[in-house]
Amino acid sequence: MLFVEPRFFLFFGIVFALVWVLRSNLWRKRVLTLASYVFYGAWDWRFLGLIMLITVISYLVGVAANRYPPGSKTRKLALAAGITASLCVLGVFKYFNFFADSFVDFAGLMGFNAGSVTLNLVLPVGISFYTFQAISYMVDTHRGDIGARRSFLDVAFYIAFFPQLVAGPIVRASEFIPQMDTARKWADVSVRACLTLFLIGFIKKACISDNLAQYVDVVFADPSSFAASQVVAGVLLYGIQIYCDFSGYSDMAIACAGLLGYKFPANFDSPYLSPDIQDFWRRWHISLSSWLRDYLYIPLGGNRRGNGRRDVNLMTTMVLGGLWHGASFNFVIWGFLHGIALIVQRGWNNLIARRVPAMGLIGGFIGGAVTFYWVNLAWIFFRASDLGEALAISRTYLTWSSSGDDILPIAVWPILAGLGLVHWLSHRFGAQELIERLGPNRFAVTYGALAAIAIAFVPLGYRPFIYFQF
Amino acid sequence: MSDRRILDQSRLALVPVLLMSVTFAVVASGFSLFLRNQAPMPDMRVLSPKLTAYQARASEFDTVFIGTSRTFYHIVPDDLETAVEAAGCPRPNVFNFGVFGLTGAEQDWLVDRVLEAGEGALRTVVIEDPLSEARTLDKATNERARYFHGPTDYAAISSSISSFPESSLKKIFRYGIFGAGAAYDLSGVGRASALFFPAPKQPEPFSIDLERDGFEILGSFATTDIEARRKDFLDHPERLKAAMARYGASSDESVVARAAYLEERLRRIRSLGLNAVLFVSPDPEELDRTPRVGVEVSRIAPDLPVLNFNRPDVYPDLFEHDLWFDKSHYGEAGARTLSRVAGAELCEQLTPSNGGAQHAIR
Repeated sequence: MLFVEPRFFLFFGIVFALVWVLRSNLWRKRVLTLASYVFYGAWDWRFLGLIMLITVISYLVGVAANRYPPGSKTRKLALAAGITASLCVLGVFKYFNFFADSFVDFAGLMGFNAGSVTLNLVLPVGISFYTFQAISYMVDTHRGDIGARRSFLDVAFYIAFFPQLVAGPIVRASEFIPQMDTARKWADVSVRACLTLFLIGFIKKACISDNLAQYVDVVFADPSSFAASQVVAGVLLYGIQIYCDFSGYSDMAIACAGLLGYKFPANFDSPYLSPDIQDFWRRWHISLSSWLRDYLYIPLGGNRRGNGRRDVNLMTTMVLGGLWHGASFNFVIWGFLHGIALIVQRGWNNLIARRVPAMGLIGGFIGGAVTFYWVNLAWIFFRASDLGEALAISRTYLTWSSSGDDILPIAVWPILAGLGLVHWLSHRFGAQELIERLGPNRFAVTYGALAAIAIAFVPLGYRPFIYFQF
Repeated sequence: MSDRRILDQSRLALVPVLLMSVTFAVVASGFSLFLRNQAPMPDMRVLSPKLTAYQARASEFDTVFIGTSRTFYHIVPDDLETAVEAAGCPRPNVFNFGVFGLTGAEQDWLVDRVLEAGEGALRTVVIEDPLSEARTLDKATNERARYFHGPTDYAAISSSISSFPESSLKKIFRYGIFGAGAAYDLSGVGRASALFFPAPKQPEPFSIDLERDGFEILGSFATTDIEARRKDFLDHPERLKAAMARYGASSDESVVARAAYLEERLRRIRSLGLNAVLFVSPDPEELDRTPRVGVEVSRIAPDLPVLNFNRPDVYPDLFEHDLWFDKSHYGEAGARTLSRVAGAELCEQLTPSNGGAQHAIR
């Protein structure tokens, strides 16, 4: 069930009405948890068992955190066992075939025949997201950042809450669980803000991402038949597609949660307008980057043990972050390219930037352009179906040479420029705030008109969100 | 919160909700209609290639059969022409404009296109009793249905639904589906996307072998659906007998409105100085309906020629099991047999001495 499908609107309408008709917080949580399982089960009901398993593990770790004092061996053991068990579930479904194949290939290189040991497993939608949420609950309760829940329902609700279940944002237990303790009040819901955010997310996903996808698909399927400028444009279009797809999903998820009375953290903040790669990672998939920072980079030692160790930690975090997206060397390279960029930028900041005068707006523009170009280079590895294809496209992207033709039926560069301009203007002048600040009647007319125009730009047929596969 | 306050808040919220809905409906419809006018006619299987072929060669044909798959797969122009000639009339040149699934509104549109393109050359237009309008959502919202659910088609769809011989409840349901189809069209979904973001690789346009002037032997082009229908027919020979038993059975579905509906269309064609003929194809599945429609048209408009072949008592040879490909369509042998009978009868009905005909077949 996608946020842009009519059946989701029906589903959400029923859940929304039920939640606000019910006055008891307990019943609201029950309804929302059940609705979340229905939402997830709409993909494949068999995977509900996995969510239940992860929930039970998380709950038991919380029980241990309640029973045993901080620092006790049993408490630590429970946490380690809980995280290991969750990662094992993730590992089996997501990484088993990748590591098995890699092992077989490696053994082959060494002269051994290891046979084939791949399993015919279907990747459960959103497994990486809810596993990370579960780990967040286990770690936060272990650290004492939040009290472990005595109610199993609370843990189940936190892990399964449908707006963020399949593609985030990854909501921290310490951010979300305190919101469960009191019944949400309708008066606290900013309806206009939520509706505006939902429409913006809908436009990003259905009107921009889904329309651009067809061009990206053909360029990546056969790059050699396209002229260099169109291959480069295809790569940049993918950069826009994935941003609009993922941030559009996040916007809609935040808006849906908001309409039900729950607040999610922002997940994107115009990342392509970042002047450098460090800033990019403060503005792209914020919930994942901050999760990796707090639960991986800092526990690894962060930047507390010298520059060399810091760079190793940084690279480890980025490569594992890449691997989180999927079991493929392409994702590893994607993480590696970002790791390199972050290390280079730190070096630049320490060695050069301090010694030259600030270049102000021009410096920001140059830095932004370089960052955008690099980020898109990394996207090639993210999108390509295999390493060979990624290398071929990145060669054209870097050298601007190809023997193909201009065959895309659209004026790609004006579209890219137009989208960039609209993005900058809406960021600069706060389009979202401008709309939600309108009076109720003006808001209604503006919203109705925008929604009507947006509908016409929705292509026929649905495309799943890119991040569902993660 | 008191009930009074909740009521007041609800009233306050109602105005923006209404405003939003009205604005949405007005803007979406206006934008959709604007985009509809900008978009080309969609490429529709069978219909588009036939229309293109007919428009290109309209001056060659003096007789056009317009109808459903029972025209498409049942009328063999060459055989019919030979039969007409053998019956003593001048040999016509026939184009088979049968399109599977043709509904009333679509047939009205198609007749207009044929009259437009065939002006000057056309002498005879034979129309079939078209199919009912959509009764499932997907049939009201697919690309072809969407094209025929524009505001200019509303009257034709409404006439088609209201005249179709079926119960009031079924009619109401069909109107509901019609409403959903119209709303889907007016929402404009996909229209701007198709215009501003054209597919990077356009699909090949539909084509059809027009060697036989629009006729196709059912089964010569196999699809899963066609093969399944054939298999079902061969596996269940008893069903043809059961269908035949429905002929002459009493039915509470009045055909009066349908006959009037068809008469109106035939008279319109005739008012242009053309021969207008109603063709009721053999169809075991429709034995309880279409024969009665044909008889009723003959009763209320005796001057209008009616080729009512769905009558096993009059045309027993047309209902032999071997002639049929599936439960409601002929195979090649059936089509040739019918075309020969139809040619002879067409000649007879359009002979000037046989009341009502304005032009003998050339």
